[in-house]
Amino acid sequence: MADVDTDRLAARRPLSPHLTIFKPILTMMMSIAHRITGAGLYVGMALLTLFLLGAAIGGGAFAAVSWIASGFIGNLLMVMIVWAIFHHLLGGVRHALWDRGLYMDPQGRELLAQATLAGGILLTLLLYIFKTLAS
Amino acid sequence: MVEFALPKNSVVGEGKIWPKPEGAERVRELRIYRWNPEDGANPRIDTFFIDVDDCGPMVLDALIWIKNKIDPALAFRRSCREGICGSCSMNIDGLNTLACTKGMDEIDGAIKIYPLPHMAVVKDLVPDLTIFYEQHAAIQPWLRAGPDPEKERLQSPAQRAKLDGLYECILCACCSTACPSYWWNSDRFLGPAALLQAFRWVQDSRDEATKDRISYVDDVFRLYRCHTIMNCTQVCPKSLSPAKAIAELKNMAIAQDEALARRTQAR
Amino acid sequence: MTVATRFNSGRTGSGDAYVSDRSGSPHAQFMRLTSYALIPLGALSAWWILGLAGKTLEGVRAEIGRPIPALALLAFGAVGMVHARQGMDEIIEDYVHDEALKTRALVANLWASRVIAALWVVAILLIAAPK
Repeated sequence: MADVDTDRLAARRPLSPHLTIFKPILTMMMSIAHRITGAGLYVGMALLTLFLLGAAIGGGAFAAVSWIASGFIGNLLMVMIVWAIFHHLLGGVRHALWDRGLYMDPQGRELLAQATLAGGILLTLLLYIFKTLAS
Repeated sequence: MVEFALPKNSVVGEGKIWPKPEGAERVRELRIYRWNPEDGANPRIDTFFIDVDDCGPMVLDALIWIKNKIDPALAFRRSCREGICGSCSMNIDGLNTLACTKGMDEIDGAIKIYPLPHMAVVKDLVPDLTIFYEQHAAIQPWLRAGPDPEKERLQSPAQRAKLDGLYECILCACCSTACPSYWWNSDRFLGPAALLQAFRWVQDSRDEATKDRISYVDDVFRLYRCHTIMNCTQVCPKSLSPAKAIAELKNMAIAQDEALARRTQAR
Repeated sequence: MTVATRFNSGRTGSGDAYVSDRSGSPHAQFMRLTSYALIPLGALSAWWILGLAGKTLEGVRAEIGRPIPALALLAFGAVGMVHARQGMDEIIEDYVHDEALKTRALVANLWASRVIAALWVVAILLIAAPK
């Protein structure tokens, strides 16, 4: 066996498919969504900071940044940020429960994943309705 | 950067469609990943048809049927055919599991079979598990205790019960190779299977190296690349919960770290 | 104690494995603590952030110029960006394997998070500070 060039053989080995063939199960999707909303909030906070700076300076500065929170894009952006906050927050609660070994059985896992998804949308919707009623 | 797409030599193409078995009344379609180290070609998906009435009910039965009756070159690992040896682990219908305990009736439509994800493929459905076994060795999966005692080390039923849900692991690698974090960082992250075993020895009342075991795993990569994605526990064919073992390891590591910090401060 | 494991396998090739030897616990614990603080802060801030949508300059200043929203948003921005930096660090460590690039990305992340947090605090103080 000593003559066999195993290193060269090993280097030729293909990598088996992964992301593209793995079943998109809900718990995994919620984990990915947690990461995306987290990274999205980083960008969202940068945009909000720009907007608040504009509002603090006033005048032309506010005019330059007002698109962040008004008009179609601005409204959509604010709703997206609020949804991302709630989704990420509930994802955090899910992680906190799992860190304590709670809801780790098959039904519990599915329940928490569904609650994260539905809860994020529901809380955003509720907040939007309350906010519209309040103003 | 991590490669999210497959490298050029790993891109999967369409393979051969093998003829349907003659005279079969009911056939089932299987689409199986093939790669032959000797022909220099890329991996491909071959389509096989089996005679359901001539074949056992499990996916492994179908693989053996194909090997016997259609293509003897089809390579896969198998041994016990009853879910205890952990040899026939592969990705079936999108989830890692044992071919011998996965019934074909649990799957709708064509049965898609790939090797365990994000692994170097030796041939067809046989992945290279060297790293996986070295990770297991790295957590020192044996009793670490003082000199041999005069008589056996006794364990109360309660102490023994703590090992339930941990000792049953058959090292099939379904969990580790289902974990995206393991896909991207298998050279540094120990992976769910090795961490479950690390916790199994931490929980053993006879083991005296608990602190050392926890310090070994307490590392940004070895333990903390786990982001509680849960794929490990979702796929485990023995219904164990590596995620729970990892959660407890994290809590123990944090507690040990804080105790150490308090002692350092007090000094 | 560390087991020196030599890899000689498949794609990874030979080399020392499991080499970071940096405790992950303080980081993990800090992440948990900031998360707990961000549960109330995030929920409260969401209310006022949504309130910014479609407002005029006066409207924006009125919405967050009062003490309670200003204080909540101040804390949210400060704690949130510390938490965000840690989260982004994890993402970088997960995906960026080139050591030089990783170091640069981690430093860029540190400063980006600090600048955002500082400007956030300054902006809110300017809006809400008693004139």
